[in-house]
Amino acid sequence: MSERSQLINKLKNSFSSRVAYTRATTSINVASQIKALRRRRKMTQEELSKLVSTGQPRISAMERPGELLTVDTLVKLASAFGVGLMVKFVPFSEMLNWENSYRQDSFDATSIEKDTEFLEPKSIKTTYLLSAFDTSLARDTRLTFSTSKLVGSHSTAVSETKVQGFELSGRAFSTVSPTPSFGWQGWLKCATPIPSIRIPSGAGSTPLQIQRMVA
Amino acid sequence: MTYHEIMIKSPQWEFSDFIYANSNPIEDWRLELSETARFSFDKILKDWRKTERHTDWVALKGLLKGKCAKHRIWELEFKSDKRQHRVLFIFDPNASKRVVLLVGCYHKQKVYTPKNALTEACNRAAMFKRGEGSLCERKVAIDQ
Repeated sequence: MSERSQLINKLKNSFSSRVAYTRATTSINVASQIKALRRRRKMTQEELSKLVSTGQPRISAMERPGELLTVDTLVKLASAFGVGLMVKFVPFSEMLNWENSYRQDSFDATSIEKDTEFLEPKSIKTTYLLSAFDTSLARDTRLTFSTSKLVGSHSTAVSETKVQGFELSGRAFSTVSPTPSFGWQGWLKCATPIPSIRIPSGAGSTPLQIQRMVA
Repeated sequence: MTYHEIMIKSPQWEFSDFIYANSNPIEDWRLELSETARFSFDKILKDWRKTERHTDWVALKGLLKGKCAKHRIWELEFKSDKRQHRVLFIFDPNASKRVVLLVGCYHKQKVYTPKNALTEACNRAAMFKRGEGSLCERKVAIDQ
């Protein structure tokens, strides 16, 4: 029996295994996000500790896996980072998908002062649906979308980056049969229409498909 | 200019247990952990595997000082079931992006359990550099 099958059996049949798995995963994911958000904002632990009215050693402890923080503490941290917080119950598949797309070194959440969709929801006018799927796409192929400046990028393993006036979101997927293939589907929203999206030479026959939608 | 380009990323990190005298002390230590601690250890390696810069790794405590300094031994830390777990490791100088796991242990108030954990880590690092022992690549779940 493969390790994955063993894990699934455990999670299906054992309450204590589900507790153990969720506790371990959550404690690491939370610690990792706190560290990532603090570093993206170029804050020291000392600076963050002042914002949430605690001491630097406490922040250091929060960035180490092992402790499940209270929702109240998470709310204070979210406020210090200028972001919101969602705590929701989800299927294991959703938890796993999120975890698989998460990367410590690229995770970020747009802070409120740069959150265009929140601040000016009507500024986003045009939506493009994008997808890339092919056996020639490797697991970690990174798709970079740019205009005169970087709009954002996604790989088949990661979602990241937003800049003012643009939003990029999507998710990776894979198939096993008939041959292992990886792909990405998502959308690009922008305040002004983009005339075209070119595939540069060297990208081969990567079937990036673009469909413009009017919001 | 508007364009779409593809960039292939560099390979992911690999983790190997240091094996000698027909035993795998890392796997022996892992099997004795509680279920939560074992999930935590596996999850940390899964996250490390895809995180390019090791300085970004969650649960990376840092480089050990004292007698371990000359072997450049690093420390992974996580807490589970009210216990501080540690894994001592080195970066393989002969391979790009490979971590060699040397010792798994507990830590409380500056005391490692087993007490010879640091000495063992130094010995195993020295053995590895002399070409003794062998490596067993740890299966790290990807997208599972």
